[in-house]
Amino acid sequence: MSDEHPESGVLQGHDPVGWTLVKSSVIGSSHVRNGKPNQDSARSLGERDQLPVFLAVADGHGSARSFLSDVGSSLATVTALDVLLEFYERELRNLEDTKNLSEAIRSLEGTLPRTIINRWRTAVDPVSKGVLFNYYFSKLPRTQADERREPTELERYMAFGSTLLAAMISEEVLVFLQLGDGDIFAVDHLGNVEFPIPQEETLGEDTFSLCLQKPEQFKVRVVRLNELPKQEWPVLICLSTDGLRKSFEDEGFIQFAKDVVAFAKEHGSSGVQAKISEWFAQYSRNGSGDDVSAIMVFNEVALSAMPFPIAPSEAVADDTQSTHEQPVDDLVGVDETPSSSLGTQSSASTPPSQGATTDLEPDASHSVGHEESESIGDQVLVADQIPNDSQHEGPLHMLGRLISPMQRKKN
Amino acid sequence: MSALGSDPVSGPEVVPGGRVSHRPLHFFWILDRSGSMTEDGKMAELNHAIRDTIPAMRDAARSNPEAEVLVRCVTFDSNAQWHIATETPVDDFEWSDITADGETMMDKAIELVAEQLRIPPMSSKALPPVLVLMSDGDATDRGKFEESLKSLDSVPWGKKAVRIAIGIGRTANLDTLQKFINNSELKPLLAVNADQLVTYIRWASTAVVSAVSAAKSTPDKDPSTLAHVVIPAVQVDDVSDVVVW
Repeated sequence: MSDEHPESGVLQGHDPVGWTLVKSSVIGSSHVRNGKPNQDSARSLGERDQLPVFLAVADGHGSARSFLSDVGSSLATVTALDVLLEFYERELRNLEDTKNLSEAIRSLEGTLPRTIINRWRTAVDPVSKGVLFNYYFSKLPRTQADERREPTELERYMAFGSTLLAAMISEEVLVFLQLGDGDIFAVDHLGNVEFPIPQEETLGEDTFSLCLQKPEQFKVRVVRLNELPKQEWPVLICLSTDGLRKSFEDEGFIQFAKDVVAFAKEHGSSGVQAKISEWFAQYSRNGSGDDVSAIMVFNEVALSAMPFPIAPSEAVADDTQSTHEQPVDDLVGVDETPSSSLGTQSSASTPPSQGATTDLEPDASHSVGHEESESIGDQVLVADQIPNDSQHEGPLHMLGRLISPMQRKKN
Repeated sequence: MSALGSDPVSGPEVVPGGRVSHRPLHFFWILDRSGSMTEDGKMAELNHAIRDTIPAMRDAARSNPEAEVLVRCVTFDSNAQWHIATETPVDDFEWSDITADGETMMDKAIELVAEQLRIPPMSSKALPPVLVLMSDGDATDRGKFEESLKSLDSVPWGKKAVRIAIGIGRTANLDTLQKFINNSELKPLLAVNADQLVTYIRWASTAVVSAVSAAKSTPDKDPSTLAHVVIPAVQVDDVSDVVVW
């Protein structure tokens, strides 16, 4: 297992048979102005053209109390890849049958969030007891009575506070983990945008965090892939920090997901890699001002099978710095059906060659059977719920889901 | 050829995604214009103070250009009405004097603001809104006041708002203002003379705006609760403490 080329972030030089990683982490314009570091981290691991691929992005909180959150986010992505890789080697590399896969999923569900938090703490501990930490801590504004006290345990970890989004793409399963704000989305071969982990309507700047040490606040989703043809696997899987979404108005973020796939279809994923940092800098400058980071994995098989052209965006980011060059008359295949509201999924334009509806309902060879809901540790596996009206929904929607304890309580 | 058909390296600039914009920061003045505000020139001083601090407010907004500060104002007497109803960019914000008359139906003003803090018209990408309540008295109808606070807390951005309260003169009921703030770590300010009133209004429209516009992610066990923006302390070292009101 080796990391991708450190400069480009792309697994270079492959045929359209595998998976391509594209990533960028751009410092926010407000951080540049205030002399702050990029507090995001984006890290990936994978062999050229092969699965599995491991991804992680993290967003350090950046407030005064989180004065080493750039370190915390970096340790978060290292830890996530470490734990996911270890899980893969132990449970999936030599997987022999479906029964073992179910057991592997149980193992994942019960242990990964806690393992990640514990290892992140272990990684943070030596730094939190060092001279540098004490120096920064002593500079925090405090009352006179507070001046000489030692940091509490929460304050120690708060200094490194970070969100974490991680994913593993293997031949058998997609695994998604999320703690705190940010987005994980997938785009299927019809251009549907789906959020495998339901979006919570959180407002303002408050977020869940590794520093709170609450594994139950992780949201986990596992999707079985091994019985779907690769052409129906997601074309794009993306993990992004909230600086990206908060740069757009309303549905602009969904449009971003669709446009990136359209761009990759026309220019290749290498074309996306060539431009992505420039785009992100522009989003930050004209939008959120925050660090903007994302890791994208393009499924080259599904991408090459997509019809072309894909319906492009009618709205273009930026004020005066970018232009929408294409006359509307030249657009081909634009479906004017409006996107659905932001939920777990937003349907996209349907290319003319695909027709208005597409049969995504799995046949027997795709189905993985109907199982009863079963408890897995603190979580519930709702396997293989394939509603009759799922024909507009992407593969992630069809193949069951894991519900985290928090979601279960809400339900 | 599609709209995204330019050369990725040298072609025309085309950027994926919908419209990009800075994050809005909605700032609401909620002002008492009941009859008692005419006493001892309080209303005139309030008008003067808000007008006087507009340049500083603009400067504060410019220091964080990723936040788009939008100002509105609602006043209350025996009723409540918008003094500035439209979201006004701070660079276009000008002040026209308000006059005083009537009772102190604070609840009606809070209900008006609460209505504007729904999504929509608010955007989920906004920064926490800032609500600045100023009064020299007490809510005329306590029951309705309590109800209006429930309305405010029932809308997501109402609950997440940064709420500031300034009492004008010793007749102001600080307990009522504290209930509006709904945060034990943040106390209402009491202005007993014109200098203090100017200082507090300047603080609310500059330091608070700067703090909110530069807000950072904050770990919280329950992200649905009050905004956790670190509000800087008001500096009163050189301000007269002579009690006039």
